[in-house]
Amino acid sequence: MIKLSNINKSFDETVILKNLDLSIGKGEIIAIIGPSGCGKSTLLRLIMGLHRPDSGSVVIDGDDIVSMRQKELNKVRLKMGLLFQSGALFDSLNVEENVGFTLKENLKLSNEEIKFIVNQKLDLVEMSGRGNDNPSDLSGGQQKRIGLARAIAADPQIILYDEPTTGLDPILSTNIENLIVKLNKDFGMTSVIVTHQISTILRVAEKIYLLKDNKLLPPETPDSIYDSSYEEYRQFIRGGLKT
Amino acid sequence: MVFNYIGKKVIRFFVDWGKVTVLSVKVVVKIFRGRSHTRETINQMVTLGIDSLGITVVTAIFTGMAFSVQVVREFIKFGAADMVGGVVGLAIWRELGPLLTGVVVCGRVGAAISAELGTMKVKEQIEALESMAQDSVDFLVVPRVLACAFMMPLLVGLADIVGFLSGLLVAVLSGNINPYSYFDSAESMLRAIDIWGGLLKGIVFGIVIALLSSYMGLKATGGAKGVGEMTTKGVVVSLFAIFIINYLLSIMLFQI
Repeated sequence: MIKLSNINKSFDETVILKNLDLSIGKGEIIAIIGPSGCGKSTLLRLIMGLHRPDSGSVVIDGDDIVSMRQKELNKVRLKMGLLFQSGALFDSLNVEENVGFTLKENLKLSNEEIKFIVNQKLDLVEMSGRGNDNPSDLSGGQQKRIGLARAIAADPQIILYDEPTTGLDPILSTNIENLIVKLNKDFGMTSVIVTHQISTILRVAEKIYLLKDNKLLPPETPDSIYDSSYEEYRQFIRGGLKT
Repeated sequence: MVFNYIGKKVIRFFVDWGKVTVLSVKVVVKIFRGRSHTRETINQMVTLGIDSLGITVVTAIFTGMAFSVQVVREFIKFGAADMVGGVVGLAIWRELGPLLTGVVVCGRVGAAISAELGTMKVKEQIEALESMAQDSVDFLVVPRVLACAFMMPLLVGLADIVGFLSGLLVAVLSGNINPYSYFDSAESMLRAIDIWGGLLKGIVFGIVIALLSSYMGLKATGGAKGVGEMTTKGVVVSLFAIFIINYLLSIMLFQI
């Protein structure tokens, strides 16, 4: 479903990713962990086509998006949803308009259809009845939940989560983790999660990759990570790896 | 050391202008081949244009009055009081109306555009827009450029009329000039190109302000400080641009 091959990415003089390879099968849930600023969010942006790699290929559902024209890239993007770390809600739109954005602009659904789907998604993220609120009226955690509702509004095949549970209280965090699993089970959504939350990694991910020194270490599972042959995994999970 | 610094500045200048040119071409292409911009353009016209009416009118009133005070006093000395209306009209329609409206719009609208787009950029909203298969130039820049291009000539026209009439008020009250003579001299000295030329300047200024302010906003990085810096830069660069363009347009339009 997603295949990154030999990816190199630098910003100015700083190397972020070097000869990175990653392959994610359809319906898989993987988590990417690693120190802050190591390039995890950059990896998500490369998959979404928001950044282009300096070299290498990013294949989404059989199509290499690196050399694609904008119009073709936009078609591929419709298969994906991205939850931003901050929620990234549009200030000028209310909650309902934010969640229904892609339904209106890309799928051209009627107002009734949009309203129905928006209410359904708001219900999923436990934000029912907040459609008329403005993003500025919401707390950080609420904005993130609305961001998630927006990311899944069009039922994408792939969903990319940038710190989905950071800043949420434990109960809500668990609910969002359950939702990620539910979306995967019920709709077969392929999920890539960038996170620091140990609970999310252990409860949700099928495979866990650690990004360190510009590369991904071979994956572990929630069961094997505590006894990983790589010290970096063990340190991270026990809080010893500097983040 | 000094040459290195100057060299970097020069390179950055040309890189920026290259990128502004690319943005301009993209805007033109998207106007004709992009999504429908009608609704968003109207929204922007209301936000950016209507809200600037008050400050434009106030600026025009006091500019027209101040200019008229000077002209009346000097022209009466030389016995040319019957030319006051024409001179005030020429100055306002050709130069003061468009230029001062441009300055006002730079400060009010240009800053608003840079700040809004800059905030969207640093809050990841531009990336969110693109991740949802929308082109940020098509969605955000084109409506602002169109709105400024449509609203600026209207604001300039309003400033021209208000400035000219406030000049009349001062001419009548302080110079005891006959209103009929004021209008008569304006009619005999002003040509159609003076009026249309001023309005054309307004269209050009509107496009330039919207483009440069959008460019600066989309370049913002690093949070509130970055947005503030780019907003200031957007206003300064737009002001430079409209002063230079105003001079060039004045030569092209009025020296024929």
